[in-house]
Amino acid sequence: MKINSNNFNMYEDLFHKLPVGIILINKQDNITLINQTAGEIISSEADHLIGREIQTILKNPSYEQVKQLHLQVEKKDTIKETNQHVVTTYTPFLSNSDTLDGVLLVMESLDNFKQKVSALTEADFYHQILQELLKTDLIAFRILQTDGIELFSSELWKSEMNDDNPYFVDWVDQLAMKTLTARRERSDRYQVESTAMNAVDIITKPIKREGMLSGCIQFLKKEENSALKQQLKITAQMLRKLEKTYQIEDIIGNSPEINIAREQAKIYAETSAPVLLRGEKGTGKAMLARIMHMTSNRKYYPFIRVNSSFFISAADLKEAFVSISKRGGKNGTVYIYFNEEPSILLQNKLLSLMENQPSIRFVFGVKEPSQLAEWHSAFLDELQRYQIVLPALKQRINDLPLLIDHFVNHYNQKYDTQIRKIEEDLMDCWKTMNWPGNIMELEDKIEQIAKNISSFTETVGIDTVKNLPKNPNTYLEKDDDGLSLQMALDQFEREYLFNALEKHQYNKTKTAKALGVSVRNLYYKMDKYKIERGGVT
Amino acid sequence: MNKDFRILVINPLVDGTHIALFENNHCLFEKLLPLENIIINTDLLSQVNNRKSIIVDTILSIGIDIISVNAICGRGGLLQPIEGGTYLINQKMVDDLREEKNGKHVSNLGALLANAIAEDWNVDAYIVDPVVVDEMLDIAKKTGIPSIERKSIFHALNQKAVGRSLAASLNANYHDLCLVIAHMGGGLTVGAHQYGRVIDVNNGFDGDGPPLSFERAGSLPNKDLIELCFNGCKSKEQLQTETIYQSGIKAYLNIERRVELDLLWRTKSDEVKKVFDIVGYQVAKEIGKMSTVLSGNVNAIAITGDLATYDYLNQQIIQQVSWIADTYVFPGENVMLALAQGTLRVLQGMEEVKFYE
Repeated sequence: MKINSNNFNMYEDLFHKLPVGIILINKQDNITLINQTAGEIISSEADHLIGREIQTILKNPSYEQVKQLHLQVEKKDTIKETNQHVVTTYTPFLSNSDTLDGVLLVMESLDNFKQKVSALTEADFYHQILQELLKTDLIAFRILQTDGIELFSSELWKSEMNDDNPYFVDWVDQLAMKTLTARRERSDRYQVESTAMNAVDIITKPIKREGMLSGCIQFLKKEENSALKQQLKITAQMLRKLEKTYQIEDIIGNSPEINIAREQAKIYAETSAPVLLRGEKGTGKAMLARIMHMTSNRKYYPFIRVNSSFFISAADLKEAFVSISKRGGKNGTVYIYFNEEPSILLQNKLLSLMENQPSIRFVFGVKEPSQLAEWHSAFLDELQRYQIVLPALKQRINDLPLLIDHFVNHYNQKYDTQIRKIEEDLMDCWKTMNWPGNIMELEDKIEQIAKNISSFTETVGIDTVKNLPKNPNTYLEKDDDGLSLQMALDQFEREYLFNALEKHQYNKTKTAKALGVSVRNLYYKMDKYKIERGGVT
Repeated sequence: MNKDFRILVINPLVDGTHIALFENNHCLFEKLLPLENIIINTDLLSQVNNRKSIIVDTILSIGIDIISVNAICGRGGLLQPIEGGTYLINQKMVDDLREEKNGKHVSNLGALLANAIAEDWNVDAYIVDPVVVDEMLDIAKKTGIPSIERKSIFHALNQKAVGRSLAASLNANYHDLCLVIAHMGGGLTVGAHQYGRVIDVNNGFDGDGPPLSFERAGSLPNKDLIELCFNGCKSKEQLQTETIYQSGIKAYLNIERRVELDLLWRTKSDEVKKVFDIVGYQVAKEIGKMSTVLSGNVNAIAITGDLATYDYLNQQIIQQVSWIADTYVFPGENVMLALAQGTLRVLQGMEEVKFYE
């Protein structure tokens, strides 16, 4: 297009009214051309600026790269006189032969630039998201610069970082520095001493922009309180014990003998065939029967437990079976424990019951040693296909520490005691014992200790056990099956009364006083337990 | 012999199932089991299996021995009108609920769930005082239009449970007393209890006679209501929703949920007091009406339900009815305990079990 005087004026007008400031700088750094907009940004008349050195106007006008390498440079700068921030772009101004004639500087006020950024990019949007993330109490994180200086951190991070623990703060800082030097992700766990906060995981990830490391982000993840978890586990175990709804994890021990029994139980639980459980008293036959029930899909239906004496005492055997099958429901488990050898008649009846009630799962328990050979063969054949032998405690004595630990935890909770350790002398003594009552006997022993020990005692040795008040009923040499709580209490009360009466030579007044009951009450109890009166009143 | 009874109580809600296990009157645990979101909007009857397995799995995971549970009690649903009491769930009841003969409501699942679990566990299942309890006198059902009869729809469970608690605190038998009981919850019902039967009660759901409540409009002048129906602005469903769920205190204070009322009470009690004055006035008037139903022979008055937790409201009512009889306040409601107690009375032989026919 040809420029005549008319349109030259028009272009000059346009040049001065451009929305950006334009300055042409010669090789000696002097301004040779400037438009009005640039003058307005600098707050001076454009004409007065012609000939001035650019260094006198801008604080940091570094454009060496532009002059030497002919590169375009963008940067933030400040006007010296007004302290106003500007965005500057330096472009080499080349002649036709590609030699440098000067530098073209395009400038714009920073506020203007920011307005454009927020209008045209999503920077504001991300800024708001970041603000929300910093405020939330859902994630704990912070962002650091490449020099390890914190840019910002979320509220949760601030509250989680315990200032009282400078070692921890230092440890987290060091982890950040490791990430920045290695330029890759690093995670580590810090074990906090206080019981309220057990352990925290710090995950540090580098942030890279176009291949350049620009900082790192650290996340803090709190490990759920493991002490609380442990407590919950014990409580759940206690509840299952009270309710007798044992699960496979309630079988304590790692010995091969118990592992075999455990695995067999898992496999047999899935079948519907009758199972025979064999083991000495106190080895946990009834418990295992319940575990098999709770492991199988039958857990949604009732578990019925019957003693073989029930059939003997039942006036009508038929009715007894009807009541069992009714309570056992369509898909339940019936556990029958033989506390004595079953008669041929009973065996035949059971055999036909099993055939008539195919949906009920039968589990039988027998005490070892048992004269199985004398049993009715058809019944025995049915039973012997799936049998599990529960080892006696002395056969798996290596499980003793685990079992002790389990029972100690249990009774610590029940009786609010603090037992932490069984001393070696007692442990050695227990390891060599015969344990005729097996695990039940062990449990009973530990309960007696917990019941009678002071709540501050932490270690238990032989001496502690010796000094405990003698329990007249230390271990009830009874079948584990068939003794109700009331019966056990009655038995205890009866023997206690006997001992007290003997101690006071059957003097009722003295005995009553020692027991803290009225004489009338003592007489009532003596009648109840059929203890003969007589002797001194 | 004093035997301990364990009772599993099931109260189905729209978005979950509330369960509790009681040992006699003592609650061993209670838990709200939320329903998966994708199931909430499915047909109610199809939810039975899902809800059942969640209930049973929860009980097993807690470690409860199911054989120790003696009975299961479900919240009663929409059955045909029956007298109050504890009913053994039988096939007829299950069929009626499955066929939704008397309507669709989430409480219908109570008996169905109780029955399904009880069948597996070989125990009996019951319902106690369902919403359809109808002991109303024939004369109380009449209206000015012979073809329109009043229905007995009210929170029978809480009304009767409070009646029993009140009788116990007076050292008397519920069946020997005449009481007026106002239940102030989402809906508001005032019942005349005569010797253990609720002989007249306003219909808290359909807006037949009741005062305004937390979310219901209560009685409205016929002419204005008809105008509202035919001005063409709202459909039948919209009007029903508005009068049942979006009126009353909610509309006066422009709130949505109960917690907002608590907040408003703490921050702007003067505004709330103005509305409570209206509610109090209307409840007192209704108690007066029911007192005449009992010919003035009122042994005691009780105020119960969620709103009875506001002492200011209670006092507004009490000062207007104090000339009738002494007023006792039973704030809140305990549906689970009421269901357990109803079942326990039958298990302990203190009350005859009833059969749905």
